[in-house]
Amino acid sequence: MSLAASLSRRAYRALIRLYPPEFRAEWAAELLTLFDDCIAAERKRGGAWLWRLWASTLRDLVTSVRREGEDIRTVPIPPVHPPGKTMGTLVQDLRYAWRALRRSPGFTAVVVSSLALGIGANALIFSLVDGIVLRPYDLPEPGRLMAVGVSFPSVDPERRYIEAIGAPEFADIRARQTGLASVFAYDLGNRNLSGGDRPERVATAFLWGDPFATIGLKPHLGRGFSWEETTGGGPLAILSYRLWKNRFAADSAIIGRAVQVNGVPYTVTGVMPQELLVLGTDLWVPMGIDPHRIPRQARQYAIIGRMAEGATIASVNIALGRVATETERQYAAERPEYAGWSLAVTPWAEVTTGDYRTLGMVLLGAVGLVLLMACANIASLMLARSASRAREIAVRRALGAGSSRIARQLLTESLLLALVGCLLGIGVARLLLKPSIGLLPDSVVNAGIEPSINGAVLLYALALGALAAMVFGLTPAWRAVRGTQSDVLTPDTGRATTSRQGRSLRHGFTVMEVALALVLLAGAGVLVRGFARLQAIDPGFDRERILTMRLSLPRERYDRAKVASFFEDLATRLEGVPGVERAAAGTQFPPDNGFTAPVEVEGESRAANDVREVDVTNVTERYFATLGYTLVRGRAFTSTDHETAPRVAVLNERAAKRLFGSADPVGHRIRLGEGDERQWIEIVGVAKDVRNRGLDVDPAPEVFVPVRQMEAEWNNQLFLLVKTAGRPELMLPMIRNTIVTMDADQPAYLIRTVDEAFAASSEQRRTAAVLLGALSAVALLLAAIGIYGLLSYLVSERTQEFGIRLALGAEGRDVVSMVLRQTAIVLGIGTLLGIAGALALGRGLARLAYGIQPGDPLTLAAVSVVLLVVGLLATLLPARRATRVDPVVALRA
Amino acid sequence: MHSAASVQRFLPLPPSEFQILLALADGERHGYAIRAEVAERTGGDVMLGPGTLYGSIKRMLESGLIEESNRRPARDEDDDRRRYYRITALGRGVASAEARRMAALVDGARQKRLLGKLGTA
Repeated sequence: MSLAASLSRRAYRALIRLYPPEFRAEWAAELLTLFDDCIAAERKRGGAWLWRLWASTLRDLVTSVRREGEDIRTVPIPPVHPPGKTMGTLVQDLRYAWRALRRSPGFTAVVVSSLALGIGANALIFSLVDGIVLRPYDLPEPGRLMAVGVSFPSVDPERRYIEAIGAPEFADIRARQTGLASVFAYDLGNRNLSGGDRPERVATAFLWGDPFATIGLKPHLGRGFSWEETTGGGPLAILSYRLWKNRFAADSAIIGRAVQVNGVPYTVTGVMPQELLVLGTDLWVPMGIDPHRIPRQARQYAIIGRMAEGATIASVNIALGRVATETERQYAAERPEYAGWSLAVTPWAEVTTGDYRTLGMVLLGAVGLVLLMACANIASLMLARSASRAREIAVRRALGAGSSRIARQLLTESLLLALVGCLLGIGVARLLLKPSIGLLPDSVVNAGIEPSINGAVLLYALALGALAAMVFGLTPAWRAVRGTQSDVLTPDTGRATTSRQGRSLRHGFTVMEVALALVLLAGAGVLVRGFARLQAIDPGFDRERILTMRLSLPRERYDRAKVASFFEDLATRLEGVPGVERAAAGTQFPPDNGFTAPVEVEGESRAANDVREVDVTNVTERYFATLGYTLVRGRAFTSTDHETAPRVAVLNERAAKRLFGSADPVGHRIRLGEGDERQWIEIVGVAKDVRNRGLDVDPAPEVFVPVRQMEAEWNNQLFLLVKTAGRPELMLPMIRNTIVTMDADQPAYLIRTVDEAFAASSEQRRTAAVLLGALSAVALLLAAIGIYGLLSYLVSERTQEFGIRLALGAEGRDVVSMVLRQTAIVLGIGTLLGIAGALALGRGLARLAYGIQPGDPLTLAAVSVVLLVVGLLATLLPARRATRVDPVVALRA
Repeated sequence: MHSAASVQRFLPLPPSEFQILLALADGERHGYAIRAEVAERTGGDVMLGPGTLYGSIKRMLESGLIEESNRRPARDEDDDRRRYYRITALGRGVASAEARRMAALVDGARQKRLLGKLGTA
């Protein structure tokens, strides 16, 4: 039984208590059995079954509970009815609670709205975290879906999952018994889909094996690929549901027909189900080659496998370890990177969403603390209220109500408040969900991840509501149970006084709030300061007003030389367009570098396994000028560095230092890549370092090579970089027109400015800073409300005492300082506890804060000051009221 | 046979009770089977929730329209948590009286041209 089903069952079992006891005794088991049947039936129908189930069940409850209640009343009352039986139904408690809450609408409104906000924020964050991190893909048994990770400790300390593994390594894993029942490997790329009104770039996965079998979903139409089809055979294609729907009008006759992929007809064998599979790709095509024929060092593949029944992560990893050891033994002599290499699986969902896991957990924790603060405020309010209700309770007690009866009544009130707050909170979350999804990074949205207010979120919200009711409702209820009958019906002044105990409890709640607010403020402070520090970093070049887009020339029509001249010509033509200052193209640009290659310096002997890697970027002539890189030595590329001219390269400072130390590298020669056919390349210049992998990472060593002199592993996908005079996005139509004059079939995609690319690279940190900042502002407000509430209450309670003191000659000043002393104690203890909490919990933030330690004393000091100032401001009003006490009025009261 | 008077005091019958009597007219059923039969016959328009269903059953048992059956199905056919119900002679009489009452209502509506002829409605 799924979690939602078993929780539903439990919830229904609890709700059955709404029926009168007679009915329950006879029919509870039947009701529950039927409810089970309803669950099964609704689940079979699929879709939003939980919604349907509960919508109909609640309707049924409302009508039938009322009906059964009426039956009870029409039944003649037995002469001696056992107390606490018919009187004791929850219905009656609820009715009474409803009346009690309606009598104090202000109190109810404050409690319900703060709960609605607290629970709404929690439900919203939970739905995002649930959708993105916990269960991003709605697939059968996602926990058994594994990514195979590989690490080569001799060249790279990290374990990688995507673009990580070589084809023969995949073939080995597939051939052995590893406990992975079904595996497939993919490489991601893009293909031009032509025909129709405009060409389109589609995200494409190249496959060995059948993802449908591994993922466990059936194709919407047609079939998947067989192993043989993916290792050889004709051009086949599987389309995504959205592509099929949008571009092929959901034509079910498409199976067996051909679509044009990079100008070549591919026969469609299937359409994917509506869920997006394999990182949101829209087109699947077979690799079409035997994996054994691909060199081992071409490690650009990712493997996904489904664990067989009975296999565990540990057992699979042991089996994979054997594969790795065997390969090492066989190949370590010729391929040094195999020394100590290892293979291991990790749940696929964790691999694809790992980046967001920390952020998600931090936010869930933070928003939970906010709810806790709201609860503390409410508990404090309820304590105050229960003091003023002491009379009412005393009357009921005198009329024979037992302690537990009264406690239950008070708890029912809390539960009712929580339920209403909860329902409103879910509404708040629903309202805010759409706008929040709009704030998510494109990478998440494109992967087909869609957070929603689903059954799990509803249950989470309801559970939080119940928990909240316990938190803020138990204390007053408990105190009611322990209350005595002493002061009850004696005529008093009409003013309720709380016991010392009640007062210290309220102090405790407020201290807790101050502490929690400080924890949140400290967290937000660290993130905001880290983000500001990041933004203040000079990237080392002028990144403004540069529009970038990617073009992929089909290898079928463009060879290496044609790709080079296409981009050189395009750059030259663009520079003739008014509004364009400079134009260039390159295989990568900051902050997204990633193409790397081994490098070798002429005349230097190194051990075979001592591999040094640099980023290698193919660029057109005016790449440096367009991006505003400064050359510190030598020259940039010119038109004389053509295909047949001597090979040349420019290093960045980092690469120069890494390869040549303090010597001048200009005139020296290097080789890039692997194999003996590589040519020596002469270094002609050195460019100043820029933050080529993002603001938060030190510059990586980078070698620039003219696009006309690309090596054997040449690239057909380049980014066009256009430096504009005015706003870059306005130039897009002109740039597109220019591209069309060269090749009408080439779509430009991944269009964005360099600025935007940098913003995207720090997106997660910004999201964390903004969200935690917002939450801590709410926390600060709640703490201020808490302090204000506590002190106004204390002041009103001590009005008489202040009156006496003022009458005996105390100055307003003295009274104010008394009130302030109260605040100072609460704030002081709360701040100290909060600092301890911030130090304890701050470690979770280390990954999200740039260059700031979570325990950073300056941040802690700053947020403490903010909290103290806000706390003292919250005291002002009550303190002023204390000085305005008229002794005569106070004493007469 | 029950007297007309003993049947008449049940009319009009609450819709849920009428539906349950119809469901039991052709054989005994347990609660879920009643719900399923009603849902199927009404094309999903009438879905009796647990509380409505057992509330009605309770009242119908008390008034003698239905009774609990002693039949126990073979173990593998069903689990023994379930209770089976069957219609009584009184229940059958009440159901047909209710049906006649409704038919008369419908006739009235047809005479006032609120409905077309049977089959062209």
